[in-house]
Amino acid sequence: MVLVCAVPGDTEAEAERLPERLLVLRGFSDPAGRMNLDVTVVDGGLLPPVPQFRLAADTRRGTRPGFSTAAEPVLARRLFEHPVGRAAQPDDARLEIAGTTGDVAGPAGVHPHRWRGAFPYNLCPDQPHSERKHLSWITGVGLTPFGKHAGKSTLDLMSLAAAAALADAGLERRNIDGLLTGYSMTFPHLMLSTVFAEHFGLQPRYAHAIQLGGATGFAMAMLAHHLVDAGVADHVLVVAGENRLTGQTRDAAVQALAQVGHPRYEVPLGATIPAYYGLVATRYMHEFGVTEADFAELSVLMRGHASEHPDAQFRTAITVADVLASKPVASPLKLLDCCPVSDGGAAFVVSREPVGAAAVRIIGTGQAHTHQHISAAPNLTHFGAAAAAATALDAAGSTLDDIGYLAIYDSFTITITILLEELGLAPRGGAAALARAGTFSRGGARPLNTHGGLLSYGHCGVGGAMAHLVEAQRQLTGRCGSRQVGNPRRALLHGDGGVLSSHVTLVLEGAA
Amino acid sequence: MSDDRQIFDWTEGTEGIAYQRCNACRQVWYLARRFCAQCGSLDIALLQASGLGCVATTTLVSRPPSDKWKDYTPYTLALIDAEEGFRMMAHVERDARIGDRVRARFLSFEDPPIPVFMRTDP
Repeated sequence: MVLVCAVPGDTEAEAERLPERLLVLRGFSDPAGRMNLDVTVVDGGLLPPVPQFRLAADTRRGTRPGFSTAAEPVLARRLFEHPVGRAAQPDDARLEIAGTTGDVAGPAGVHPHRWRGAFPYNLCPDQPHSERKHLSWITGVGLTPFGKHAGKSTLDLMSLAAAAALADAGLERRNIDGLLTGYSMTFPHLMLSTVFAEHFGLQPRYAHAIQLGGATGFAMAMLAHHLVDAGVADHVLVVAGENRLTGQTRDAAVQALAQVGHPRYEVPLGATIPAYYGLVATRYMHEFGVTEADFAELSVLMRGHASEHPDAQFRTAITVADVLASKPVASPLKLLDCCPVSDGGAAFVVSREPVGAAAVRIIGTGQAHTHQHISAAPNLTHFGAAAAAATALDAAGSTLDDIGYLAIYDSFTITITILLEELGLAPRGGAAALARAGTFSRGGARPLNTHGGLLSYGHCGVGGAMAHLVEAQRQLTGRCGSRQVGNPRRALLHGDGGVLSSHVTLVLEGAA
Repeated sequence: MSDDRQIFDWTEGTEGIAYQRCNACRQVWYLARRFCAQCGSLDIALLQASGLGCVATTTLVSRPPSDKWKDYTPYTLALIDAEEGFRMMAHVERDARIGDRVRARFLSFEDPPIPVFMRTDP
C-alpha cells in the first residue's frame, strides 16, 4: 500500500517520476536481512495510491498537528491527479502505481473516486481505466412555491431559493466558492451570476451564467458536477428564479418565448412555442398512432401529483375530458397540454464531499444537441434524448432497470410523451397506456415528477426543471412526506431546451 | 457557378422561395449561410425553388403571438418538404394533411409576404 503526500516545492516532474522510483527503491529485506530488494523482486505489487496529507504533520508542539509542511490542497490535488507518462510503465502489468499526494481524506483517508484514469496502468480490478467514476454530491436543495409572487423580483426569488438550499445543506455563504446561474426574461443582464453574487453576499472563485433554454438547470447541474470533480470548487451553488408570470404580460411572455424560433424563417410566420411543439405532436400522432386523449393522460397524471404538493401552482384534479375540452392553443395541443407561466425560484448545492443531513450523488451525466430550429431538425420524431441518456447511463454504470424514480421535462404533454418513449421508458406510442396503468404514479414501478412537473407545479423558466431535480433529491433522501415513493435508489433526470433541440440527462444515486 | 438571375426570396420581401446548394458536396439547405455547414466549402449557389413540395406536419394556431395576428387567427403552420430536398416552415391551407402535395402562393397582407402552400391534388 502506498500513502502519498506532496510537500511544498513538489512539481509534476516529481509526480511523474514517483512510479518508477517506487519500483526501484530497495525497501525489502534479502535473505541476509539487508534492505536490498525492490518490490518487483519480492513478487510484490503496488495497490492504488492513497492520498494522505497527514504524513507531513508537524507534531512537535501543542495538541493539534500542523500541516503547513504539506503542499497546499490545490497543488496536492493537481499532482495526485497528474497523469503519469507511459515511459514509466513497468514491465510487470500487475503493478499498480500511484502519483502523489492529496489533501482530501475522509474517515478512512481513502477516496477511490479521486483515482484518475489518466494513469496508463491502472489495473485496479473494481475500477478499470475506462470506467473510473466521476462523483459529486447534491448536498442541499431549495424550492419556492410556484405561481404568483406579486412584487417579488428575479433576485428576490433567486435569493429565497438559494437561502433554502444553503440551509438544507447546512452551509454558510462563505462556504460557497462556485456559482452558476441561468437567465431571466424579466431581468435580462449580461452578468446575472455576479449581480446575484453581490446581491446575495457571495464572493465565489468561479461564477457565470448559462443559457440552454429549458435544459439550462440540468446543464448547470452537469457542469457543477464536473467543476467539483475537477477540484475547481468545493461547493457550487446553482440558482434560478424569475417573476415570469407577474413581471410581464402574458402576451409579452408568449412573444418573447417564440423568439426561440428562427428570426427570419419562423418567427415572421406567427409561430409560437406551442406551435413548434404542435408541429412535432401532429407528426408523432401520425407515425405512432398516438391520440389527443393519450397526450391528456400525462397532464392528468401531473395534476394528480401536484394535488399532493402544497406549493404547486395548480392542484385541482382534472380529467382527460377536461384536457380535451380546454381551449385550443396550437393543435393538437390545448391549454391543459401546456405548462403554465409561473413565478418561482429553485436552487441546489453541488459539493465535492457530502455535507449536511441528506446528500445524493450525481453519478452520470450526458448531453446531445442536434439542432436549434425545428425547421432544421434532422428528424421530427427522434431527437437527442436517447444519445444523452446513453452517455449518462454509461458514465453511471447503470441501465434503465436500475432506475426507481423519473424526473422528465414536461413543458407540453407531447414533450414528456416523446421523451419517455425515446428514452426507452415506454414503447413508442405507449407512454399513455403506462400512465393509465399506474407505472408513473407514486405507487408504480417508475414514479414520475411527483411534485407535479412543469404542467402543474409550474414553469418559471430556468427554475422549472430545477424543481424536478429538487423533488428527485428529496425522493432519494426519503424526505417527500405524503409524496414519498418508497425507497428509490437511483433516479434518471432528463431535460430539453429549444424545440427538443438540447438534451441533458443526469443519473442520481441515494446513499446506500 | 453563379448566374445573374434575380432570386426571389420571401424573407427579403420578394415573392419566392430561395435555397442553397453546395457545389462541392451537393448538400441542399434552407436557412441561409455563407458556407456549406456539411463540408465547409465556400463554393455555394443560391437557387430558386419551384414552390412544390409535400406536407411533413401541421398545426392549427389558435393562440397567436401578438395582436397583429389576431384577425388572421386561426391559421395553419406547416413544415413542408420541398421537392428540391430541403424542409421549410410556412403557412398551409386549413385542411392540408401530412403527405399532401402542395404548391406555394404568397400572402402579402404582411411584410414580408408569407408563403402559403395550397394543395395541388384534388
